[in-house]
Amino acid sequence: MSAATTSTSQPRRAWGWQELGRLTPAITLLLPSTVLMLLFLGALIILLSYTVRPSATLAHPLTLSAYGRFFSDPYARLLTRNTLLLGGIVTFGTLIVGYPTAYALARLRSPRLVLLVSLALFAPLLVSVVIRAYGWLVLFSSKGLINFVLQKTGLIHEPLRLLYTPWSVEVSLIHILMPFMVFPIFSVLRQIDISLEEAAHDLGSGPWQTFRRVTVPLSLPGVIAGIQIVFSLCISAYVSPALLGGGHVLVLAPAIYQTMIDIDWPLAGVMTLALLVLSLLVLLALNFLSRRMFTHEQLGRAGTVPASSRHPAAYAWLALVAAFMILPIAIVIIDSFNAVAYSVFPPPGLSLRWYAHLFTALDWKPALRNSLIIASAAGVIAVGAGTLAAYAMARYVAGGREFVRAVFFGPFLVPRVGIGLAFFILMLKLHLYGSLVSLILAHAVITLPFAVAIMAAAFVAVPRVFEECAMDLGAGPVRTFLSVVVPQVAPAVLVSLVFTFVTSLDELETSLFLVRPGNQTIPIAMLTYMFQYQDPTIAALASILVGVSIAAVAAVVFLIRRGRFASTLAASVSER
Amino acid sequence: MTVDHRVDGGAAITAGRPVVVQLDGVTKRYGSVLAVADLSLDIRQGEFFSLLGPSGCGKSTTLRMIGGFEGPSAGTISIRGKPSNDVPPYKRDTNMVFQQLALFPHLDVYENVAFGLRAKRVPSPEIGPRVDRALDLVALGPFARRAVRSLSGGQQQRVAIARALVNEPAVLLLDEPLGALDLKLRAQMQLELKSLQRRVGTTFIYVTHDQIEALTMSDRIAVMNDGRLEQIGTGREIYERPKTPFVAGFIGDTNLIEVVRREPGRYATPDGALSLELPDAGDRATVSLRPERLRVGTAARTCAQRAAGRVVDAVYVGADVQYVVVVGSTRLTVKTRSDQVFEAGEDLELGWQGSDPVVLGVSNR
Repeated sequence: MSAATTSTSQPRRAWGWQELGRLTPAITLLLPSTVLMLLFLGALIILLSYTVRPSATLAHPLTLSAYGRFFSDPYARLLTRNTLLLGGIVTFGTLIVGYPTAYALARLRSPRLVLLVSLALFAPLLVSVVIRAYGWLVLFSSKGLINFVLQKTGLIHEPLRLLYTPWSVEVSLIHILMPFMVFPIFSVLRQIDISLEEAAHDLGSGPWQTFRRVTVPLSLPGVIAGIQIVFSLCISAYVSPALLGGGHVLVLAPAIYQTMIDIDWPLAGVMTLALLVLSLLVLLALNFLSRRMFTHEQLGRAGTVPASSRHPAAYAWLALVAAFMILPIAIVIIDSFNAVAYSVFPPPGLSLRWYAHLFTALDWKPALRNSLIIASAAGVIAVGAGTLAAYAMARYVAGGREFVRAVFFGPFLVPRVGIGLAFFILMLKLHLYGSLVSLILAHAVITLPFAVAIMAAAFVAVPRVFEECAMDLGAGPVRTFLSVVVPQVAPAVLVSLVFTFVTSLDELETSLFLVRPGNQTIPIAMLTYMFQYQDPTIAALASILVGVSIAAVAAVVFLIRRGRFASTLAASVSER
Repeated sequence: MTVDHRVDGGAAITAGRPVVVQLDGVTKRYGSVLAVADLSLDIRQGEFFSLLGPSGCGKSTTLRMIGGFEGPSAGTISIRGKPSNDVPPYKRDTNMVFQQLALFPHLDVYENVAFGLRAKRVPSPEIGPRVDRALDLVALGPFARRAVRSLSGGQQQRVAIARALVNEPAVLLLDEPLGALDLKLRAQMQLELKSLQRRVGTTFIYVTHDQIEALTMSDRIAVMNDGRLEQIGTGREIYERPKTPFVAGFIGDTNLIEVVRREPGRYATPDGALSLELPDAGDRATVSLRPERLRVGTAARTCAQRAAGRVVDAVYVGADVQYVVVVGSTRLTVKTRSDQVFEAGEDLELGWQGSDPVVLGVSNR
């Protein structure tokens, strides 16, 4: 017993080299993402410092005049009010349409049908915001499909003026943001144990009462998440207000860009700050609300057999929503074969001239090359840094996980135009403005939260015992990570690569501030073209991009299906 | 009552062999929770050693400390005489069969088994024959190239064992590896494990909460409760000579009777209805009397010690009857063959032999 007494009597220091040594892997893993985050924070700090300058070029004296101008200017107040109004209307619209959709989708019995409807709902995410906005432009034009149908059915005699109204902006944003509302609600609804609803029925509660008193309360976390995402994306949206508002829909995001062009960086900075504050206020309010409301956790296991319903109304609703989601993309493809140079439905004739025009008259190659380089590099950086960070979070920083997660989600919370403005100023300071590096870094920062989120979810699904087992069998930490952990999260790595790649390829609001004329990316080249010409050349390009996106998704689905056995087994093993 | 657990249980067949794993005053704290308290054990070469106890008793934590997954808060763990507290799992001469098996889903059976050899950079010409031998040992030779998910539960179990054994560890750690199997397969795997252990001669340290499992397989058993060692010894010693009320109650069913001394060598319950002849053990004692040791009716009459009681409950369990009998204010469970039947409410005579009651020490805390 003497040996035991001596070792117990040794004082253990609370903190020392040993503890630091224990943290070394976490620090190493977090290093690349920390560099990206420092870049992001640095850009924001520089932006903040500009808000207290008299002008973009004068550094002294420090002044709050930009804030004064923002708060006293009726125009700024109008912008703020319109932005809030637009956010409110669009969020409400997506919720009203999205909740029933998520509910009907969650209750579909056939997995094939779920896949089909999900594709219709989520595939538009893969199509550039510019293209989707263009689709609505075509639909809403005075000779477009909507006016055509309304006139044919005799509801109206004169074409309605749909384009360049708040209404057109709202509808296009509801369309663009719908997946962000449906998905969180859907995933929560899917997890609700069927036996809870059965228990409610058993206790004498009818279908409507059960829905209202059991299903809706349990799905509220998903609703709140959906509202948070949709609202913050909506108030910082640039393309729809700029393109479909036609200068009549005055909101903050396009105004920030315009103010930057006018070289009033201090005011642009204050406007960015205002946008950020609006977004954070709503986010925190809803977080507070959800914390007050949901202290409960679902007891027991989630149902293995999800509840299902075969109500014809559910099918009809899903078909309607799927049509709404597909329509703007389908119309773009139809428009690309339009024989005339203006948008009209039905097209007076079919032709391939716009495809020919695309390849002969215009040189898209530099923009395409830039986009591909940026998207590949940003994707690899974000997924690499994000994977390491997510692994560190999953395994090493148990206590500070919430904090680390909050930090990584910073780029998601700050409106894209804000990141654009901040990076624009930072890159000017670093003499990197207009370079591909500036865009790669900005895109890596923007996509990092997605990579971290996807990879963190993947690592949670890999039971720690696999790593313990590998170490027990003699594999060191690096070998364990590479030969045991990474193969099991390979599908998630692939998904995050595709996701970051596509996000970067489609990124516009931030890039807008960073590109130099003549050195554009694809979405910006498209937007620029659209501001100048309104012919269907853009539709031809869009159709090609849609084809590429579909091929990419098909490839990913195929690869994941092939690799699925691994995750299935991991799941069955972790159930033991 | 102080017992030196280290020399206790020396009756095991492995007594005198070299010590492979030594725990000396090992303690593990999680914040203010004491998971393992001042545990000292010697585990010898070639032993099948079980850590037995209810969930939360610290047995898994102890095993994980031996495997290197947790560091002790105090005390020393030595493997083959070498203090190993700070040796990471991948540099330890131990291998573990995990409760969740943890077969790598992205590797086939062969590659799972070869994993440890590759990690240790065993020359590749050696790997093939060693993996084959390990798979043959668990009768899975023909399954080498199968995906692990295509195997049955019992087969997956054997892959996990082969994957650990192929590394020829100084000691094999098994963390309730049979927990996920159904009852029948479990009984079969218990026997297989025991015979495998005899064939390879590796030291096994086996964690279980199942007393039957521990009794079936082990050379020695350490019973743990609340992070402390209650008793250590062979299965027979622990069953027949439990040292504490906890051990008596945990290993099999028993009647625990509180008695006071009436005169030297004679004890009785406080109400005097039940009296026992015992070796002298102080003024008060707790006595364990196994239900199957008690005789009833005609069989009781031939016994050296007797008491009169009344049946309050009779349950037929096939060949046996289980009675609840009250003797004064003491309730006793009796398990006997059902050739003579008593109904609830009947009076009956109970009897036992002088060696049947076991005086228990104060629980070890």
